Amino acid sequence: MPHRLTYLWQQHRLALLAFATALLLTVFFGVKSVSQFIYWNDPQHQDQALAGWMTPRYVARSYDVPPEVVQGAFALDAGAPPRRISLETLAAERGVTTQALQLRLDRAVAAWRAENQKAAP
Amino acid sequence: MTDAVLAFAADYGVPLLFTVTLLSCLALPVPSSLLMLAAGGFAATGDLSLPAVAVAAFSGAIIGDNLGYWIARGIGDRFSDWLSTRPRRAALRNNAQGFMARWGGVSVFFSCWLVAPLGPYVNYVSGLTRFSWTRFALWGAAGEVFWVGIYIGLGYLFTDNLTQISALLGNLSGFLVAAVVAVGMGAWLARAIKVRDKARHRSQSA
Repeated sequence: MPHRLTYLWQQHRLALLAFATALLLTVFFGVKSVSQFIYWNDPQHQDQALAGWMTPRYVARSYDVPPEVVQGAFALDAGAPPRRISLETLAAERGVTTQALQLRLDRAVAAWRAENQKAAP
Repeated sequence: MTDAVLAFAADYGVPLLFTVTLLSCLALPVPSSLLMLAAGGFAATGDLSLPAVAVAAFSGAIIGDNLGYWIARGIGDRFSDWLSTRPRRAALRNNAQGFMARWGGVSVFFSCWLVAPLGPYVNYVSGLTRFSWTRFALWGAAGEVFWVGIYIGLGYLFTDNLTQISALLGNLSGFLVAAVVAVGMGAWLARAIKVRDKARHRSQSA
């Protein structure tokens, strides 16, 4: 066995190095996948914070409230057909920060939950 | 990075998805899997239409695959003299041709989805070795059904956890690709040893 390794090292060094690297990467990604799966399986880590890329409808789904609540919070025209837009772009259009939107949303969601006797998650 | 891609997905939707799946099949480093997950998620919330998302991703992938194949085939034809001038180059090409004749269809199929990062290179090798285009196109289309279906489907199902599912799939995909490369290199090294042992045997008995 060792003399075979010596032979490969002398004659096929690149291939041997590529093989070793691939083995190491297999272990690396395997461990990462498993640890991430365990982390994610913990219900505490399953809530997704509000982020600039989310659309109003995505927010409604993520917060588990009707879309109208989010529409009201962002003062979107309820009569207009729903529009796909990220919160970042929406904030930029309005000339406000995403934090300002977040504040308005938190208030609207809290109000809706209080009214509907729904416990906060 | 993830957030920027997701914001793009929200603002530009279906045309962006089509462009990115096409480019990723040509080995350009674009975040196609994240975009497909995001598009699936936005389809679940009603921001995008699910059929439009599926058609855009699938047609982008198919067009990208075949574009890669024909580009490589054109290059291969143009440089075929250059490839056969040196015995080492010619042997490499003949080996690749032999491999594709035996394993071509399966390789194209699985490299479209299970080990998708290898996909573009398999497309290029298919074109370079003049692997049958009909077989390439059919196996490729079958593979892309899985690629597009799995990513958009998971995005649709795990809408609330787009960033997590994307990271998990990235690691799983890295694991599979590294494992396939390790097995492939291992087999190649084992063959090299076998060839040497045989040559030794012959010289000893002679």
